[in-house]
Amino acid sequence: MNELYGASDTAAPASDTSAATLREIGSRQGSADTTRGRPDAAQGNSSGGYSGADIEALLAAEERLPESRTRQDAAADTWSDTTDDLADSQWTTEYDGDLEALLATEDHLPESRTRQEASAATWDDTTESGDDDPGSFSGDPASEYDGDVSALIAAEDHLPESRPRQEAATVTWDGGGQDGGADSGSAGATSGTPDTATGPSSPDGEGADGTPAPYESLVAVHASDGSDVPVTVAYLSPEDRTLGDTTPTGIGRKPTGEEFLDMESEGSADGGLDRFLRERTEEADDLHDALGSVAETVHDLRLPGPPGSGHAHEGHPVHEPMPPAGPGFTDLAGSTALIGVAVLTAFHHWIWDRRKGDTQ
Amino acid sequence: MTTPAIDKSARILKALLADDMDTFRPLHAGLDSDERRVFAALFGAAFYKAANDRFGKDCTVADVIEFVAEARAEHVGADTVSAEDAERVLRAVLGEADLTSGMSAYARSAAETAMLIAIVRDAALSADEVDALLDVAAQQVRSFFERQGRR
Repeated sequence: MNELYGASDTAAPASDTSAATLREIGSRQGSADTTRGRPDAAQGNSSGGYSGADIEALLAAEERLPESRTRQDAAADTWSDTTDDLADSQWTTEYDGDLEALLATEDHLPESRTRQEASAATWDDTTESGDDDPGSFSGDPASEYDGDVSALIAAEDHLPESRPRQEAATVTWDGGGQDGGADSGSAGATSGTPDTATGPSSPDGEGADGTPAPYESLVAVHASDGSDVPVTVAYLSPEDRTLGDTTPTGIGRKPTGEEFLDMESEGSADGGLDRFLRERTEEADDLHDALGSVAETVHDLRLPGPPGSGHAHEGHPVHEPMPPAGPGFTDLAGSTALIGVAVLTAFHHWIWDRRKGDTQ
Repeated sequence: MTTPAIDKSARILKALLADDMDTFRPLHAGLDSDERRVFAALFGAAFYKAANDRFGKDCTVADVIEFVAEARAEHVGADTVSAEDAERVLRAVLGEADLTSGMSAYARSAAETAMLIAIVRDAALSADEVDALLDVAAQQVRSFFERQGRR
């Protein structure tokens, strides 16, 4: 702080106008140089070159000057693991200004930086624990970050989810993956997530909320035999998701036209018919032969046909040969013989009855 | 798929169901490869609709068994199709599709042909009713091939 005063001291003569302004302000405000409880080093300053008004003006200017530096340092400290708690920082020991105002200001400053870094850290799989990773706080967020902790935690609740969903998508498209997950240690992009360490392309057009734009990436997944199997992982924006998919982004993949038609036909009431007709057309030659054979068989049976067909119910095919007749025997001859026997029997009975009557 | 092929297939199927063999034989024998596919689709659609109209969704296995027994005795002959095959194809088209997975394409086609003839004869469908059945089947076939053509 004394250095700052010194700097102000040296800077004042550089601008006579500013010095005059400061004196004027000081004269208007009087000599209350102990306002706000500041330890006024000027009171004990043997040089006595500054009035109370000058000091007040300098303090007012000082509130602005260190602030810009505070923002930079505070942002830097926020992302540094070596940053001490604010209570131990140099500002509390070296700066005795409007601490509450400074803290209030600082509460807001790192927030925008934090969200950007949090988004980047979410996609950075190789981030060491506790290093720039909002998801790896050491249990007490306040010990590492004293900004908008609630906002950071709220953001953290959403950001890491995209990674497991991409891994789930990787598993879905990886039919042979034994471990069922993308190997983050494989070369190049892993799990379709841009890795700042390995240097794959990061999603362009990052959204305002930190969500990446849609992209596809080729990742290597270890197969059961140890070889790397290339798997395409797609990250899609909410607009690209399927209808009715209410799950958060990153889990779905927009179906292709053919897949959509398949879903449409299988899911509709005619889905079973489509499948049935597809099978019939694939077996058209077999159907052609079988249908012709059955048609001829049923026709030859001459069973009761459709109305108006006039077929009689004969019970056997008409082309089937009749039962073979015995040698020298036909229906006509048999019938004639039977009739003859019957006639002879009847005549014999008539003669027998006449003789019997004559004898009586 | 061309409409003439569907119309030709409808005429063949109508002749089959009317037992008009003089019309059926030359038309059926003259089908080329593409027309056979269309005819197979039309036959399938007609069988699908006829069976579902005959039995509905609430039919039981006993209903199918009873119908098959009656159909083999009175409409298509016991030697034309086995009772097991006939029951399988009917139950398959009514929802139990896996029942025909073990059947050959020829046996399945023969059983379906016999059961379609039996259904039409058992219901004593008139010529107009057969035409209506085939019209619906033809429309389904057109839609089916349109969907197939988009792929």
